[in-house]
Amino acid sequence: MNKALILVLLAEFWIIVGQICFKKGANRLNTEDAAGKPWIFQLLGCLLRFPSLWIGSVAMLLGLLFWLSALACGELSYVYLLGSIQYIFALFAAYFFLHEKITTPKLIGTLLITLGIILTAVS
Amino acid sequence: MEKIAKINQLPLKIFFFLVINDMVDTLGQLLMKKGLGSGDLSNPHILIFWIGLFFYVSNFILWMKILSKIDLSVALPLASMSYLLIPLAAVFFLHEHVHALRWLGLFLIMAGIYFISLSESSTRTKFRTFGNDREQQVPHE
Repeated sequence: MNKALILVLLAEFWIIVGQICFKKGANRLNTEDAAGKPWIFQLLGCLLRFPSLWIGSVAMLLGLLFWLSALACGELSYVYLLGSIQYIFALFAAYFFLHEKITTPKLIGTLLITLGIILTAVS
Repeated sequence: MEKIAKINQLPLKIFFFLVINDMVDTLGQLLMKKGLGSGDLSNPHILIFWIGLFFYVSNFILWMKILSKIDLSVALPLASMSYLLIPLAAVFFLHEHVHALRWLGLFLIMAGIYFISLSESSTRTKFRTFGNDREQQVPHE
């Protein structure tokens, strides 16, 4: 286990926590779509009212800090490809916390991405 | 095949948003890496780093627009055309060496992204459960 890999795993964990919070906020944004205001004002209004967007932002910030540490200690093309482990995290996190279904193409796609990550990590 | 492609087609608007999202993301990542250099935060390129960080953060508005329309587990992989853009950019602008196996890994990741894009994406449509036939899908609105 190298240092960059551990930092990437930590970063992706917090990024997924942030993304789940963002998606929950975006879903609520959808239900209030009827407001008729320009979308950017709806988003600003929601930023003030939905705590999930604030929690998500803090989690994303934490993820970003770990991500930057990872970027600083490895080549960009290597670190960035390792970061694709987030799709595997996302698939299961979305299944458990957002009730998104795991479909056959999604599963095949995620497995291919995992293979790609392993190839990248050993090269 | 034509029918499948039609049913699964993403709204064109969301696709454009995703492409712009990818390009801004790539630009942000490149500038941040360029600014950070070898990890010495006191180097003179710190301004480049902050510009990169600005691109990275301003992507949020676009990302919320995308998330309000499609599923997270579909949007995240689709936001990854940058997986092709970033190694290319790293080769041309940062003069990093990309190993042959890494290109193969990249190809597999792109193939995976393609399969995920076949999955239904809209948050509003009903979802096909694991193992069911493709024909039972509900088309995009």
